[in-house]
Amino acid sequence: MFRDITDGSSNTLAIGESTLEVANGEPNPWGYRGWVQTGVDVATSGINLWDVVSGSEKVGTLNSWGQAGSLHTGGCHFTLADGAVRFISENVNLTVLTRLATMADGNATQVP
Amino acid sequence: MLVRLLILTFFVATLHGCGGSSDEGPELVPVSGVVKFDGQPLANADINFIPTETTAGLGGFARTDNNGKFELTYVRSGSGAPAGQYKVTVSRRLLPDGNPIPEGDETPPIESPARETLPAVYSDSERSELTAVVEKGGKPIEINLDSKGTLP
Repeated sequence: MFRDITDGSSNTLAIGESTLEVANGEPNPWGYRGWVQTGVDVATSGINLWDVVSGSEKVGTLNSWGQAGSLHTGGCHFTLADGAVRFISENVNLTVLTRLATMADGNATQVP
Repeated sequence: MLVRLLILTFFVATLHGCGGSSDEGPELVPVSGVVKFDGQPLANADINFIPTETTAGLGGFARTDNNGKFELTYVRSGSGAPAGQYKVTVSRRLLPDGNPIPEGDETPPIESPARETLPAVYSDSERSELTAVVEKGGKPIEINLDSKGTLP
């Protein structure tokens, strides 16, 4: 329910971009219409965390399924709970991303 | 004229959509240290540094050698981690035969026969209360653990 987004719908992520290629399985299918779907976890793995192959990043292949990432340089897009679309840099720190990913943690953090 | 305006609008919207960012990644500083358990060096322990507060980046990981020593690798590749404050987890999962899980093994814990041997206040990322500060030119980090789950 929208009333549960007490941090504010413009301070809360609703939908995140992910890539087709992932290192260890399958990406979320279109429409998230599988039996068990994970959504996109930006709070523990950040944005554009690529698979690391023998010391160098395999850009475009996310490190794991359920992570946020895109083929755009330096970040990816999110839809906020108010419907706005924002490009968020992969260099935003995890504390800010965690606050944006939670809808009622008491931290009304704005998208940087 | 209207058509021209529409085309321009389309271009601007497209450029915005693929704008990207030219930010450089955070600077990494070398991080080394030693893990001891009940006073003895702890081998084959998996260490995770999880950034907290305003610490940049996505953290680092390492496995201790036979002398309990470790050097952190940044999760995006490269050695070290950005300076700042971290939550630390130390995990040591052993297979039923007593051997440690192979380094870099990606079997999900729920599907693996390996079991955690360290208290959750050290090993569980939700519950760990271990912390560390990474500084440029900082000293090696000493992590002292014991079987009672005492926090430093």
